Parts: sequence; structure tokens; C-alpha cells
Amino acid sequence: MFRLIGLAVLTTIAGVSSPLLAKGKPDAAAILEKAEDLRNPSVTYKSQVTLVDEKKGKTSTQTFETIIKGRDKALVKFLTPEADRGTQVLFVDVDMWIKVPSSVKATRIAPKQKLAGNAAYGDVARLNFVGNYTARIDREESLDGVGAWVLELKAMPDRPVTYDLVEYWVAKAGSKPLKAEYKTASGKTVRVATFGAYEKVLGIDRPTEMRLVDSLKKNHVTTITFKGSVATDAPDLLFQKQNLGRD
Amino acid sequence: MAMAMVQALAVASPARATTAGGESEVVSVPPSLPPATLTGDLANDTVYFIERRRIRHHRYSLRLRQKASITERLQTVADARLRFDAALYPHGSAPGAELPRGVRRDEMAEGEFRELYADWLGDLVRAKIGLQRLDWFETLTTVNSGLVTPLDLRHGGFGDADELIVPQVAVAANHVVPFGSGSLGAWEWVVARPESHRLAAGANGYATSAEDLASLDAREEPLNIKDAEFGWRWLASVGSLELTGLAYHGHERLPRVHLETMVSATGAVSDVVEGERIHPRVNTYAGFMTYAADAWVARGSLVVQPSRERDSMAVRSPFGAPVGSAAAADGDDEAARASLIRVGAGFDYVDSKHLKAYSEAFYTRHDYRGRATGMTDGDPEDHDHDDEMVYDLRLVNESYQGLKITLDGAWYAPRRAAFIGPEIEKTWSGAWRAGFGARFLRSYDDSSPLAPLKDASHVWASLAWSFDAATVLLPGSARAKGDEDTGTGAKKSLKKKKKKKRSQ
Repeated sequence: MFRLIGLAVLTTIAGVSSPLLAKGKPDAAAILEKAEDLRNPSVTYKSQVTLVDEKKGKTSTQTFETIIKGRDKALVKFLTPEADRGTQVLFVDVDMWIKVPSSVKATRIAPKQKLAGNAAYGDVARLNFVGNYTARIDREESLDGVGAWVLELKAMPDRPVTYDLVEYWVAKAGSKPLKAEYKTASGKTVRVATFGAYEKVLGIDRPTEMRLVDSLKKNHVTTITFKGSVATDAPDLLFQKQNLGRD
Repeated sequence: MAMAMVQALAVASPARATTAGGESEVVSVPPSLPPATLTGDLANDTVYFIERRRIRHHRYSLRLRQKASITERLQTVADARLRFDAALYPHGSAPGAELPRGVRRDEMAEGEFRELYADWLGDLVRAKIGLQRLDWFETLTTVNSGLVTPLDLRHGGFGDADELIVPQVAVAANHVVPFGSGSLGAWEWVVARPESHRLAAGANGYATSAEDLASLDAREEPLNIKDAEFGWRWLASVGSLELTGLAYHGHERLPRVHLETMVSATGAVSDVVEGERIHPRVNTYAGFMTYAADAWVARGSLVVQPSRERDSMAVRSPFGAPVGSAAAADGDDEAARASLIRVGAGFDYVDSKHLKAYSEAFYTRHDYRGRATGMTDGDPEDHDHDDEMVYDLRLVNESYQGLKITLDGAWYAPRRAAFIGPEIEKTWSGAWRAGFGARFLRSYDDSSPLAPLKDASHVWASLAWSFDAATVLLPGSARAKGDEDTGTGAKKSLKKKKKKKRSQ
């Protein structure tokens, strides 16, 4: 009888572990790369971005046009409200500048600086996790019935990241980004982001909505929507600080 | 003209039509004109002089700015401003009615283009041709800019760069090439019709130096197309380090005065019989360094003008030949020159909205050389110098949405003078902006840079409304109706979505 039990246990173990043994332990960096490729295509493209901030029953809306080239260049143009129209923000690798219409020159700002509501400038510019964070698989979890890898992302030194630590839920099937918890260096959750509204964008189903909720004030919700994404031709000159202000 | 531009804009923009199901779809409209934006600002600003106890400005201004995309790479920009200062209206009770007529004519009503240029962006080169504002100095204030860039100094030099920099007709090109892990950039520009600093047309309440120049019986030789200027700027950036070099072949932005007097048969020197104000050529060389580390930025600069012509006075005999030169007001002779060297350092902290701090300090040395009056050939040159220090600090707080608090300060040494300028700006409803602040000036030495402005301390208030001119001027335009992803369209779209969700 013990032999039978032992055989059953061994079979069970073999049955559970064989997929892992057959496929090998998934690479956290590869999962992150796939997820980020869905969230932020590597082609040069532009999007119309709408940021809606809801707090204590009040709503405010801002719109932008974002041009993103590769993983290290982004140009954000403020469209509305009218008082902000003409303002532009440029990300190039570790540097970030803002130029307002009344100024002839651009001034440097920090990517973690808040733009509006729960969103930082980095959120609108779709700052990429790849190249800015190291990843490891923390655990597996089911999120709303979807099996997911939970990645622990730690900011690399001297990178212009908005958050020091991120817990990132990525669906096992298709590597779709599902959720992210943004944390301070001490591990305290500051914001929770959920990715949804998947649509065909540049030929692939991608999340077009990012919903940020303040961990302390649950009634403060910021929704960022990326629409109208099209591939575009943007010369490197457009991502020069000295050329900020050009539409 | 604005209405015609807006109508063209309405025709050119893609339109949206609402289907029976309430959805919107893009309707193809054959474009007859390129897409363009037309935005505007309507503003009022009032300035009250504290020590003189009077309103100095009560200005209304309208600004319209159009950007048109002719092609994907070619744009045109037109930016025009109309301004009227009611405080200068020649009515008995107007606070500025007693100012000189020349000042009221110059400042009461103004209409001008601030920018009018074509902008082409290629893969490797960007070129801007036309009326534009150029500023090549990476400093907090315009202290260095004024050496090369013409500024509007009629009102003490207060205000942001957008207000102060005088536009010039120029061709400017810049290009960047990758270089290892960094990049190399270069700019070249030709200013076809240079401008000088814009000075007050008389005693306008801000300074006395301008009125001194204006009241001299000396004709001004304005700069024009034959005085074209040339500049080159290079940039090398590697990681967080940025190095820039600048060389500019330009003119003195403030006029140099050349006066002639007559000496009689008895040897008496008469009053000035002829004078001219000119803008001599001057070369400027500069180098800048910027290093950014997370939220800190360190900056350094060096500016040199090796040889500058100075004010002078010549004496002529009744027969026309000069007999020598006499001392001008500053005691120098016609051959005297000066050189300038300015070293600067700055440090910025830009981590968060709660506090951003910008600071910089400049040391300037003027070297004067030339022979004093009466000296014969062979005598050693006179040599003297002048040293100045200025420290600038700006603190900015934007902790609260829509509220910006700024504190500007400056200290001048060794001729002591101080400036402090607090201000608050509030924006709301996405289009309105109100601000108020003060500028306090103190001069403890009659020869300090702020001495001419010692009675110009003031408080100010402003109110501005920014608008999409296409929507305001043509509310029924396709552009105004369409594009639900922008502004109020987005807000209504979100409300529709919420209503639909609740009903489901």
C-alpha cells in the first residue's frame, strides 16, 4: 500500500512539475520585455492621450499628444486646457525638460514629479520598465480569474524612474500587463495601476487605458487613455532640448 | 485676417459626423488648406509704483498665435500682439498723462509681430527663417543674454524672456549627429536685420540712463540689413554632461555715443555741435557647462568680449581738422577700448513640485585701456578695471494644483544693491490665470546697477484668459465640433460613457 501511495505521490509530482521541467523556469526579463512591448511598442509612434482626474466628486481633464521613439525618447505636447497649450515635455534617456510657451528656454524637471492627480510625467510618457528596472518572478497568482506571473521590479541605479519598486502582474497567456503596484523604496504601496481596454493598436491587442488609484485615498482615481496610436516618422532632432516648442 | 485664418482652419481640419446610433465617425473632407492651430490670450496687467504712489501701467493686450503644418516637416508660425496702456492715455485724470509725449507715443499703443517664420525639420537639420526670438545663453536671468540678444529695457528689464527678448529677422539652422554614447550639435545663424536694446523714449519713470541717452542731441544710426550678424554654437553631450561653445560677431546692443565739439580761436571748447549714437561691432565668445545628477544640476559659464568700443568725444578746430580728443563724461579718449570677462556658476535643485531652487552667481570684470587726454605718444597706456558680482536666487513652489509661488532675489556687489520679487500665480478652469506680486529695489550706492531704478519699486497684478481662437471666433466650425478626444469634448465623452455604464 505504501508503495502505491508513493507511486501516486511521485506521479502527482511528475504531473505537476513536468510542464515546468519541460518548459524550464520562465525568464523574468523575457516576461517583462514581452509585457512592455505590448504596453509600449518599440516602433516610433504617436498617441492622443487623455488624463481624467477624479477626486472628491470633482473631475478635471487634460489632453496631450505623445510621440515616443524607442524606449528612451518621448515628447509630450500639452493640448488642453488652453492655459497649458503649447507646453512641451521631453524625455531623453535619464533627462527630462519642460518648456512653457512664455519661456524661450527649456528647464529641467524630475520624471517622478507629479503631472496631474495620481499621474507623474513618466506615466504620460509611458516610461518603460525595460532598461530601468531589474525583474524577478516573485510568485504566481490568479487575478480576476486570469493566471499571472507577479514580477518584482527594482529600479536600477541612476535611472529616471517614477517609483523605486514595482510589483507587476503579467498574464501568463500572452504576457498581457494586468496590474502594477507602485511602491516606495521601503515597500509601501503608493499607487495601484490597472491596465485595460485592450484594443488593436499597431496590429496587436494592447492596453489603451491605465487607471491609477491612490492607495491612501481610494476615491482619488486618475485614468490615462491612449488613443489613435499611429506609427510616425520622427527625426532625432525633434527630441533635442533646443528644439522643444516646435509642434 | 484672423477670421480668414480661422475659416481656413475650419475647412482644413477633419470633421466628425454623428451617426444615427450616436457614434461619431471621421468624415473625409478634402483638405483645401493645411491643418493649423490658432490660439490666443487676452490679458490685463496693472503696475503701481509704491514710492511715486501712482499707477504706471494699466495695459490690455491681445495675442494671437497661429501654427500651420504645411507638410509633415514644414511649419509656419505667426505670433502677433496688440497692446494698449490706458494709464498713458492723454486725459487729465490718467495717471501717466504727464509723462513725456514721446513716451506716450512709444508705449501707449503697440501692435507688432513677435514671431513670423517658417520652420523646417529634417532628419539631420532644422532651419527657422524669419522673425524670431533668439537666445543662446543658459542662465536664469537675462544678465548674459543682453550681451548678444537685444532686449526690451524700457521698463527696467523686468519680466520673463518672452516679453524681454526683441525679435529679429534671422536664418537659424541646427543639426545634431550621434557621437559615441553622446551627440554633437551645431547651430549657425545669420541675423539679417539686427536690433539694438529697446530703450525708453524719454523719462518714463523707470530709469534715468535711458532719458540721458534720449535727450542728447545725437542722431542714432540704427542697425539694418547691412549690419548682418553671425553666430555659431556647438554642443557636445555625453551622459549627463553638456558642454557648449559660442562665438558671435555682432554689435553693441547699447549705443555708444560719439560727440564732436568745436574749439574757438581763443581755445575755448564749445558745446556739442554734432553727435551720433552708433552700435560698434563686437565679438563675443562663451562657453557653458551643465551637469545633471538626479535632481541636482550644476552649471558653469565663461563669457568674453575681448575688445569693445567706448563712448568718446572729439574736438575740432574751426577749419575742420581734429585737434585732439577731450575727455567724455567717463574720462576716456577716442581710442579707449574695454574688454569684458564674465565667469558664472549656478546650482539648481529640481526634485519636486514642493521646492525647486535655482541659483547663480556672476563675476564680471571690465578692463579699460587707452591713452588719457593730454598724453603724448610713447606714454604707457592707462589701465583701470571695474569688478561686479551679482547673485541670483529663484525659489518655486507648486505644491497645490494650479498654484505657483515664486520668489526671485538678487544681490549686487561691491556697489551694493538688492532686488526681491515675490509672486503668486493661480490658474483655474483650464483657461484663466491670475497673478500678483511685487518688485522691491534698493540701491545703497549711486553707481550700482539698480541705482537708476531706485524709485521704481512696484506691485503688480495681472489677469489673463487663454482661448482656442478657432472655437471662440467660429463656434460652429468643424474643428470646434469635432475631435472628441480634446478638452471639453473629452469631458463630455467621459460623461456619456459613465451614463451608458450606469444604464447598463
